[in-house]
Amino acid sequence: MTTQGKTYQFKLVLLGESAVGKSSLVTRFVKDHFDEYRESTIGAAFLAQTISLDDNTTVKFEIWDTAGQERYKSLAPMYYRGANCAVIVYDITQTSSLDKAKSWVDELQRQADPDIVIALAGNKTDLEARRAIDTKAKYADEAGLLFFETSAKTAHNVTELFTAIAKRMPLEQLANNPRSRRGLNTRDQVDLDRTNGPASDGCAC
Amino acid sequence: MKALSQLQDSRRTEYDDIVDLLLDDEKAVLLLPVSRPTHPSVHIDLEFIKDHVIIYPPQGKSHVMSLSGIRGAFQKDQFVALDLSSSEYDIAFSLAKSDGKRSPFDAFDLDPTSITSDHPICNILATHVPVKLRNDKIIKAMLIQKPLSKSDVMEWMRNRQVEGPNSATVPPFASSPSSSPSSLPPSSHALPLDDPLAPSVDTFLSAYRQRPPKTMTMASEQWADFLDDLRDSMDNSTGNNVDDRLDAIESYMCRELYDKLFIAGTTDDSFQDEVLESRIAAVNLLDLNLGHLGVTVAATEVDSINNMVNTAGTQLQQLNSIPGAKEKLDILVKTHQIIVDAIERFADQHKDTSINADLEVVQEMKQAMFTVDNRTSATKPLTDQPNNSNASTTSTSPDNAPDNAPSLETTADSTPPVTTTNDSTASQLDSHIPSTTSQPEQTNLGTASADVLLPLLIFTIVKSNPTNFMSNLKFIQRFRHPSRLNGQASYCLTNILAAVSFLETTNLVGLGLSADKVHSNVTDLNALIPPLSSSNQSGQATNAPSSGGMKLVSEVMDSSYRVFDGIGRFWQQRNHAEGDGSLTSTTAAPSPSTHKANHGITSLSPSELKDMATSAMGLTKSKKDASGWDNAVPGFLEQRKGSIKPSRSTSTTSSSSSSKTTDHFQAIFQAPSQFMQTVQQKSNKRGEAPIQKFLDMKSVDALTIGDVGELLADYKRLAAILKQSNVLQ
Repeated sequence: MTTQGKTYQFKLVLLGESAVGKSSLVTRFVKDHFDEYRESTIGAAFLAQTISLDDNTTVKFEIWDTAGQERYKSLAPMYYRGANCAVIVYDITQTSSLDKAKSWVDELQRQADPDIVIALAGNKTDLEARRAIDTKAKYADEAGLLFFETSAKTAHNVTELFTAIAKRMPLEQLANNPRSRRGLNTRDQVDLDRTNGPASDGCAC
Repeated sequence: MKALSQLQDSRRTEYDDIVDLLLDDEKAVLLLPVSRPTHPSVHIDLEFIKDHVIIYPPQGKSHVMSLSGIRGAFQKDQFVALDLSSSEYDIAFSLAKSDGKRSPFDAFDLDPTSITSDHPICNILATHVPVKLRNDKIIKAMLIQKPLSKSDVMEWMRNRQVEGPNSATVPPFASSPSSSPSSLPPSSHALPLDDPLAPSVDTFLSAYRQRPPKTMTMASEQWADFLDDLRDSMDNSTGNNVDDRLDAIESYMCRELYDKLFIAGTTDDSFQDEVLESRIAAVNLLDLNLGHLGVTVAATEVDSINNMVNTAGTQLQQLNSIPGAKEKLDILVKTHQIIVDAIERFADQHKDTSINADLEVVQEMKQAMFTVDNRTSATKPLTDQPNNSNASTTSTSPDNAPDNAPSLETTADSTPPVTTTNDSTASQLDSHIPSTTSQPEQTNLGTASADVLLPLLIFTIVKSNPTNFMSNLKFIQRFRHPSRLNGQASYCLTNILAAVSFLETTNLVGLGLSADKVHSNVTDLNALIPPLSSSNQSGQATNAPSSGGMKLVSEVMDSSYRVFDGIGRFWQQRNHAEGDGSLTSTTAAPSPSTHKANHGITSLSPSELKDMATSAMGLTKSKKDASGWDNAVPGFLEQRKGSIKPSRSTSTTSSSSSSKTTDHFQAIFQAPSQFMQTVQQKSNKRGEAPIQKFLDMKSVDALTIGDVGELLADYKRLAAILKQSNVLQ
């Protein structure tokens, strides 16, 4: 089997109003990738997926879904605590979902780990005819976010979204600066390598 | 109380004897739970009633016994279950219909000192609450916090037996082996640690026993450090089982030190358990449903959901009887799996039904979808599971754009003549007609999202109300090695913690349940008995400082009327059904009493109330001389004498039926307020001392890294207390 390469593991939290397609997006991402070990047994709420950036570098995302209903908003910090990256999803046909997304951006920038990588995803581009929200590239740029318009249905930009996040992650910094035991840690990577064989076989097609 | 109404049709003669028995205050009392059975599968049937009819002992015996054979004792304000009799109580014996029989009390004698804290208990909220039966007979009831169940006692006893003999405690009863304060004594005899590192583990354990860390935070850190060291010392070359070895060691350590680690005395864990349990009991009484939690459920799914919630809840209830941190964590994951599997089954069922769907269904679903679409705080119906339709219609995408569309797509697909009653919905449907290029893949990855999972978890926790839930979660957090508390398991724990946090903090009114509903359920009572609400309010006013606890308990008490009401009706119905002649008289009675009969709570004549008071005192007095009874006499009976007296004096002077009834209600309310005071005292006790050393610190420099956790924990504790006492908004 391959590689001396490193596997970096990141916690990715999914935020956004319910019914904007959060879990569909992730399901599409995971489904489109061959996965030699499927460790998740709890549906789309928690999924793990690896992406190979190059021969030596594999990024593994642990994707944490959150409940999008307003009544659960106050619970979100429990989920994004310790998250390395976040995907905030809205529905391009629902104006209210963008407002909600922006409030997530504000909250994460205020309260989450300062190094968190945030991506904004305008989902449902397959419903172009019903689009209610213009592309938000400018807003995202100003706010320092990655931005994609996606379609979980057609897979448009889905892989691109996650790959861009993986590339944005400060891999070098992590390599030199292993996290404490209490967070995601180097040991996890060691475990992966040992128990699951090289985890870098994930196909980034 | 659906279960009750179902039962009202039943016709069994056993109830006659039970009622006869209860009519004699000296012989038996009915326990009336104010919360629903913790397990949703429990029905209020004969068994349930038998669990709650307590027979007073003959002279010379100090324990009581339920009709179903639960032996117990009244201690302070609690009923403590001791063990089970081998047979059910023979009613005939008490009714003196067969003199020759041996009393079931003979075989057993209580040693009060043997009662340990792990016995199943239930708190008593009020005593001598009269319940009027349809035939105008009055029986006395005790309000208890939660239902008793023979099967719970059985399970508890089984756990004790599994634990094996423990020389430290002499078994209180002949056949039952051991008892230990924390219910799970070391089982090292059964499972010694088979690992080369066992000596160092034992060294750690004995050091821990001799000098336990001051705080649980420190304990948790020492624990993790030690496991880290072990891991470092393991030779990787011996195989890939380092994690397995560590897990085994961790489990062993948990078992060995369980009584020191679980609900440790240095924490307020047990207090938090109690608060959460009461909170959940209250939520239960308010009839929380999945709609309140943001999941729409079709009527046809209710049964399957209840089944699923039962199964998942049974898992959660096992948490408390398993000592290992890993094993507890596994239970949480298992609970998730049960729920997710069920959700995915629902998705499949929707697929099936949609294939055969007729136009009506299409329109119904469209309507539902339209509604959902138009709601800003969109609630995601359970029906919205991405549906990988059948292969024949070729739709496969679990990733259809709107989460709530898929089950509709297939429907639209298979029933072409869709009348476009609603343009926007129709266009949406059109846009989602599955592409024919998709491959017919059946893996339904996208079915169970957090939008559905979290609400179902909350619902499961509410319905199962697991014992010591907080303590068990904290135990996992503290003693599951951090390197293994990751990935999916970590997500599951977070989900459960979030669910608990939701239950602890959420304003019930905000969920759309609570106030209105409860009030509508007691409105009739209030209308019937005008002064009730004012006495209620005055009670709240005087207890204002404890409003946090008060609120909670008054929620429970408010709701208890419903249970009360239900059980009262049940009894009435029983008598009614037996055709004791009261049928015509009650139904023909003037409207006020018909009303009252409907609610099972009726006014008392002065003499009845007097009887109630005197019999309460009489009971205490007359039994006092009997040897052994002194020990078993509930402490609160003494207190209750005082609280009943005023009722009697007012009632004898009052003449209007409504004020009499008010007295009766005041009598009920007095007990809860006492209960509340104990809650309050507890919270005061917990609240009185912020950690002194932090108060003494002059500057941040004095703070060590190790203090941070402790400081944060205490900050949270203080914040919780503030919240409890409503100092904060």
